[in-house]
Amino acid sequence: MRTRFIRSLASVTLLAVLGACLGVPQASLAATLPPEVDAWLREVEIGPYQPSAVDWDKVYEAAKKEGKVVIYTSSSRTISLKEEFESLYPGVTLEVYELGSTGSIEKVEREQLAGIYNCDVLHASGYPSQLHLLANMNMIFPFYPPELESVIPKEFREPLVAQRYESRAIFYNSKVYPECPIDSWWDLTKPEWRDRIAIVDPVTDASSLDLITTIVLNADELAKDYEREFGRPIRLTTPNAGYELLKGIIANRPKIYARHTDLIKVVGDPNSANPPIGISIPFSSLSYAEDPARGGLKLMVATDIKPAVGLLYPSLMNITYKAPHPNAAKLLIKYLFGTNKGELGMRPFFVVGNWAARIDMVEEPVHEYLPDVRLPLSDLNFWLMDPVGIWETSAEVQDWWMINVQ
Amino acid sequence: MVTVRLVGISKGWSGVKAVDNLSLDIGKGDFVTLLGPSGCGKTTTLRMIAGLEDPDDGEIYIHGKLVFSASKGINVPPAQRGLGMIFQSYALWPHMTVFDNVAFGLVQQKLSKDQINQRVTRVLADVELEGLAHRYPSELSGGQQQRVAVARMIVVSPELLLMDEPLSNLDTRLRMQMRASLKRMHQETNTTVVYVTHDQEEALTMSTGIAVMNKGKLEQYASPEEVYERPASKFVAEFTGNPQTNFIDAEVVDGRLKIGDRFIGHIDGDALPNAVTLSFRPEAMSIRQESTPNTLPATVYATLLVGASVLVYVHIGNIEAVIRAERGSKFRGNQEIWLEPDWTQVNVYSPTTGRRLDYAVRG
Amino acid sequence: MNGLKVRFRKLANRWRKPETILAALFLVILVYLVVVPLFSLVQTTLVWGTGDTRIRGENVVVGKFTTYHWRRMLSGDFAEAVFYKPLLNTLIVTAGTVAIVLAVGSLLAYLVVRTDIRWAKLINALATVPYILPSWVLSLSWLQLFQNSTVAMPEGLLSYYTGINAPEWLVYGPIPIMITMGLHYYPFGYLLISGALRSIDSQLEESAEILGASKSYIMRRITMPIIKPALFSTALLGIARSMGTFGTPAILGLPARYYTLSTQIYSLVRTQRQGQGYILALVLLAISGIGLYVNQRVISARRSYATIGGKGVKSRKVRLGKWNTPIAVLTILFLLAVAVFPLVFLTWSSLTLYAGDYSISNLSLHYWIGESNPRFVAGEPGILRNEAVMGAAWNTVKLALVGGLICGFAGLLIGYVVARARRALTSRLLEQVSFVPMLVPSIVFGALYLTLFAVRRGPVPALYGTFALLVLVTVAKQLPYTVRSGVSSMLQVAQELEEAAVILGASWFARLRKIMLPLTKNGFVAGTVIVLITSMRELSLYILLVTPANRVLTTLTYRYIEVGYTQFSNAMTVLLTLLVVVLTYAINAWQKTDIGAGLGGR
Repeated sequence: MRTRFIRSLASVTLLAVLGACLGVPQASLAATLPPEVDAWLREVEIGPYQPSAVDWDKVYEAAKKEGKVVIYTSSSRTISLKEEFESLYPGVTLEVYELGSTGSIEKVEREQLAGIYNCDVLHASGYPSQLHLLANMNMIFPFYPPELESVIPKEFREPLVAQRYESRAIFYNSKVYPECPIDSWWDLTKPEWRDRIAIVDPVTDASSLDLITTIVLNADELAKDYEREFGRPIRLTTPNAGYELLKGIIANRPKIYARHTDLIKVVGDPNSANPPIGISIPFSSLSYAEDPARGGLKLMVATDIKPAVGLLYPSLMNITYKAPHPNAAKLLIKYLFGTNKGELGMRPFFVVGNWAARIDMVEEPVHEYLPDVRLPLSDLNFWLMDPVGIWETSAEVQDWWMINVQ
Repeated sequence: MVTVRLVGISKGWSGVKAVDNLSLDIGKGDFVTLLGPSGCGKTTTLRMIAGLEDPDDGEIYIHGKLVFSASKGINVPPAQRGLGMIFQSYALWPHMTVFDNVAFGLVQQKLSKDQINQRVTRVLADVELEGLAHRYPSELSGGQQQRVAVARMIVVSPELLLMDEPLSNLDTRLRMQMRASLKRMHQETNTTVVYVTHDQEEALTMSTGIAVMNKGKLEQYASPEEVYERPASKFVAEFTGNPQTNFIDAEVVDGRLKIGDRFIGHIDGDALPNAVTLSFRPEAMSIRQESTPNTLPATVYATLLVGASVLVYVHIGNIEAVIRAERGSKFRGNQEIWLEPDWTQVNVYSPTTGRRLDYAVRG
Repeated sequence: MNGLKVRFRKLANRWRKPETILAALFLVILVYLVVVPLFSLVQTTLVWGTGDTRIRGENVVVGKFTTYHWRRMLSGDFAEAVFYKPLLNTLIVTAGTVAIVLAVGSLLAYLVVRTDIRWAKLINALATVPYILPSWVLSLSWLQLFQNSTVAMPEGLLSYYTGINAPEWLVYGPIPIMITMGLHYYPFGYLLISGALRSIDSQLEESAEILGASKSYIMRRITMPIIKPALFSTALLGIARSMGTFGTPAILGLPARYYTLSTQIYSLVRTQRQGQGYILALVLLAISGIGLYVNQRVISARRSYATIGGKGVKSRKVRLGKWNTPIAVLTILFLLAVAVFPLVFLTWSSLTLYAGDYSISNLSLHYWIGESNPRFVAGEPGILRNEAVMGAAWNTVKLALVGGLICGFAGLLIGYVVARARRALTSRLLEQVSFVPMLVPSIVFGALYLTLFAVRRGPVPALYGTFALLVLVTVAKQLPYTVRSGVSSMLQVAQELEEAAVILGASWFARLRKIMLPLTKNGFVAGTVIVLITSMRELSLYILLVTPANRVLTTLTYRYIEVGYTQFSNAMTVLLTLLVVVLTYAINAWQKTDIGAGLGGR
């Protein structure tokens, strides 16, 4: 299992190199940056000009002068960090704006285009869009504490800095199904699941689109799994086995939800007699399971699905161009990496179904209501996000989905 | 001394001329009425004097000063023309008290509070509205509203007051009272008044001069007596008669007038036309029981009692006419009678142009 | 030569008039706020956008001309799925919605205005409530009521209490969309139609009755023609509003894969396909435009008497007799179900600490006033002590007041210009152009303002991220309401009232301040209140424009709905509704005490 994880990391590295070739600013390419961008990066020492050692006292002093730091985040969990961060760095206020991934990326793009510089740190997933719409347009730049270089793999530092892994997978109702009722994606095409599937809308939810695009990109694996599942080679009526799978799912008339939070409630409803299987729910939603504040949802994630349980993707944190508080932003990024016990800025994200970028973690997250559930990443077989492949294929997949879903 | 001088003013909308090349002088202290049927251009003329409409052409002088000239591009705003105006609807501001309505003009002149108080109180006393100063217009009767409208304008002491049918919304009795009070106000303040009405009786009773208008043109501009006794055209004669003016076509044969097949009266003058139209007011004929050379035969159609006199509707041949007779006169329907004209009250018009012809007629 | 001079002078004279200057000024502003965005809308459909760089097999140069979007949207499988089918769905849903709006609106109006129904005041007050609720409330309530296990959903109230499982077509799809949108928008119809019914002098009907006409004949030949303009206006408003609504079809259509143009526009715009999304927006615009044209053809001649009001007309009430109480009770029950039940339900839900548990022991004020507790909603403090929520609430109130006042004022001034020169080309242009924003779906209008004001253009600075932009988009979008009320209230003020002040030497500003504004205050207040209500519960218009620094309650609430904080977001919805009600009530109270005596009252 461990080897598979390392293989995954290797492929991320490969993608990172690929990204670099596509024009992501790297130290070696700094000369190609527009002069004013280059000058700013040089001045604040981020991106290609990140120093090999940082005097954090000096940075804190500068941050105090800046007075605050503004973060656009995909996660409402970030809000709970405000108090601790401010007590750790008196004199620096943390302003958290929780906008979702798509929302955060869109805002940063619009603001940068308008020449409005509100935001310091963009803390969101949506790797393909961040890479193509922001990084390639010199709107965000990576920064990480140089002293962590040894514990953060390169693919989590370049071309963009990531805090953790997130994922999209399949969920089911643990009350109605004590055991996971399926073991392959192809099960979802079987007639017994007709009218009993629900999916987060791939047309409006970016990560959901990334998932179905990944399915299309991994058609070969799926074709093999089809043969394993049905004992005969797949006969294609669509361009590949990935589309064939999607076609089968659509034929089972899935309910479509705009938000995964709505879907969670439907899938995990403790009173439901006929709950659907939910596709494209973040692994970390497992932390809502059994939580009485959320209505005691009976949620469980399918961990043994062939050929892969779902899509794994990094959640990024980078500094925006012309950030008004660059030093405070550096402090915040250092803080968000947390400790190797999942403390500080990592704490709210240190939950079952999230995996830190650091490789020196000494503890695993524990689920508050399901203490037996442990999900180390190394035990799970994910498709790793291919940001370039997804960027180039997603429009086509989205079109296909729109045409076929009605 | 001329207060208002209109020189060749015209105004039209989308090709239709509402006022056509109108010239008029109004002397200081005059009470001049613009009289005519609706659509004759009288209100437009008034509004052009006020400056609420801009003429397409012509010039307007007020108090000797050129206030409008199309060719010279002069257009003095209404407030600087030194005039007041009373609207048909009174245009009282419903959200202001009587006091505030009247004080408005003084406030615009930025007078002190004391001065305003003093002058408003005085003018309200003049129009007999003291005690109603803090009422709203909707709480007043029509006549009171009308007096507020007057007070609002005279409080700023304009030398020229324009009135647009100010009495048309009142009932008959009130209208008569208001006529008297307006006339008195005119005499007391010695303001020049230009007054628009379609009511000939109002024009005749109140004015020092009447300008009769028709289709945007001035038909006659003269004193009320002149307008009544010597209407310049058939139109004026018709419009100023009460209840109506009788017209009879006559042939002219050797200085004699021939109506139907009956010769009656003489017409004097050079180059007599072949035919004329004679006009006579209802009171310009007397009813006779017998035929004389100076009478026309007629039959009675109906008799109406109108207070002091009796109106007798008759047929003269195939012409309908109205004759005013003494109260107490009794006629039967279809009764044969004879009519004797009072030639001094008869006017002669051209049957083709409708203009008055300057020929003398006699018995 | 001289003729030319005279002409020039005449022109110069005209330009000295404030209404001419105002007309020109407003035209320029409206061209910038309405026509330029429209132009930009069309332009976007004809160039490559940044999101198009991922398209393969095309030579994509961002910003360069292309017919790609149009080709894709007009023919082929993609067009079929993204355009034609949703178009058909939109037309069906809109027709159904308008039918419900007309039926419910006119029935209620008839009962309240023309019959002696009991508790008419209460009915009148309840009838307008659905309009002040945010659009998503009714559709969420619908699900609470009808969802069940046959659609793979938890049990709703119906299923829970009766065991009846509603079929899928009653839970999702066109039928529930029509019903909930119809119930959300019928107050439009109610207000317009009851206004028209009030202006009918029953003598008109009585004289027909004396002449021996039957009831149905009177209805057909007398009553209907008189309220026809109101019916058409209602239909037009219904079409324009319901076609552009995103929330309801998203909640009730999407799960059943039932797409409308508005949901497709939202999807396309959100996934960087503006070029294609805006083509759909143009289609919506065209449909509403046709509606507007037909509307004007039908009612323009009648307009003159359609707008009278304020006169005490005699109205004889139809006696309901022994049916009075039953009908009144039924009506009130219906209104309670539509207007009050959702609110009560939301409030109750906001008071439950643990979701889905409605027992007394679970009641708590945590989501209202609780301190931060990481176990609930990721440690968000209760809304009344939550900085973000209170900030957004303040922004909402500020935006609604500022936007409403500017809009009301602009509406009156435009109304003044239009009323003073009814036939002038500028007046007609002003009236028509100011109506256009009503036809543009909110989500598209927001997106257009984003592109338009994201960067500095000439003298107009980049406004994105400022409060001013929110005000601007509110004013532009809601102007149709205030222009309508402005024109009709200005038309009711006789020109002579202003001329009397001209004669007395009042400047234009003095006339405006002392005469015209006080006399049209009712129209001004009415217009402002409508804008206030509409903008406070508007979501789609702002969702693309707000930045973290200037969020409003709806966008923040929507965000919390998105992350699944049910009780917390329900508390916010209740707060929003309360704010709308309190503000509306306060304005009504203030306006009455101030103006009642001034207008002579009776």
